[in-house]
Amino acid sequence: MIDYKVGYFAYSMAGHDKGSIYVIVDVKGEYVYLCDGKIRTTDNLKKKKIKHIQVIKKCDETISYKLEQNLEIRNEDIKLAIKKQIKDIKGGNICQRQM
Amino acid sequence: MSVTVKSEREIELMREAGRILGTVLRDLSKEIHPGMSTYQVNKLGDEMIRSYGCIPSFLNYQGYPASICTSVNEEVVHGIPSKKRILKDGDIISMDAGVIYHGYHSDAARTVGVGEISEEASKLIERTKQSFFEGIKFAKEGCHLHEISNAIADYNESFGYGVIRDLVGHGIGTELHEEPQIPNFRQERRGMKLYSGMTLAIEPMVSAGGYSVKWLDDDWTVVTQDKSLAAHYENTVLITKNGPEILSLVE
Repeated sequence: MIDYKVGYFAYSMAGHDKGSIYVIVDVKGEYVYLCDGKIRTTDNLKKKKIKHIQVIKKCDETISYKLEQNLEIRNEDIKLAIKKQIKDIKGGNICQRQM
Repeated sequence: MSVTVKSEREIELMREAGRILGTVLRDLSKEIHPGMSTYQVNKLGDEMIRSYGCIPSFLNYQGYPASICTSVNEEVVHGIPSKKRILKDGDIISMDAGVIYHGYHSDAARTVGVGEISEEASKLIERTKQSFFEGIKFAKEGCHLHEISNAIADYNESFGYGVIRDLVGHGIGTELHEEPQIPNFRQERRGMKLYSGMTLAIEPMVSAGGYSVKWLDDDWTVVTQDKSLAAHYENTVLITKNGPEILSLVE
């Protein structure tokens, strides 16, 4: 099965934010809690059902380091991670499901 | 006929594509159980492929409507996933998939049993898989292409199986299907010489009965004419001086 881990990227596949990219900051049961660092910040997370996201099993280096060291992840870290991921997508591999 | 030889960088990308695809097929095979629909198999496989940042190459390829070809029992290849096709105990299912990783393709297939399967089905699956390994003994620099074909054919026919002739293996790289074509049945001529850096998708498709097939009305699903069980095993292989490197096998 697919594992949904804190730190992985996730695309929204349903709802008004369809197509938006987030970082998973928490997983509880059938729900994930998502942050984009801008609108959905660390203190205003987006709650979404797992079946409504497409996970990308990739974690930004800074976020990965902070998770390992148990350091606080800031909105700026998440914004930068997402920016790098979008750049990576435009540079080669497009992983979004056809919508 | 123009067959490409890949550079080191290209080979690295195809290794990663193969590693991801091998992992997906291994994990997807573990999820197969009675009561599951082929639609669910496809949905899970599609999600797994994308979770590695890859694109499923079969989706919309020449109009094919899914990411995983799910072919059950007498279906040889290109079965279309459906909510109505429910796997039951004793079935066998072939899952064929492709990924694109940074512009480079990998292609592989596995056939697995659903629940408890018959001894006949189990032998067919195992021997089809083994015929691939018999074939790749010749997948090295200096050998000729049809040595692979003949080895696959001889092994399967020794058990009285029918080796499908209407579908063949192929080169692979920046395209899903490249030259050369790689038949799985006996050839009179030895074919082209193999060189290091060539990347081939070798895929025996075997029937427990005759080798004749037909296409269903959906224009995709291929079935055995005599409704015999069929198995399919495929990997993307790199030709090297020292022998084959299987890029898409993860165990």
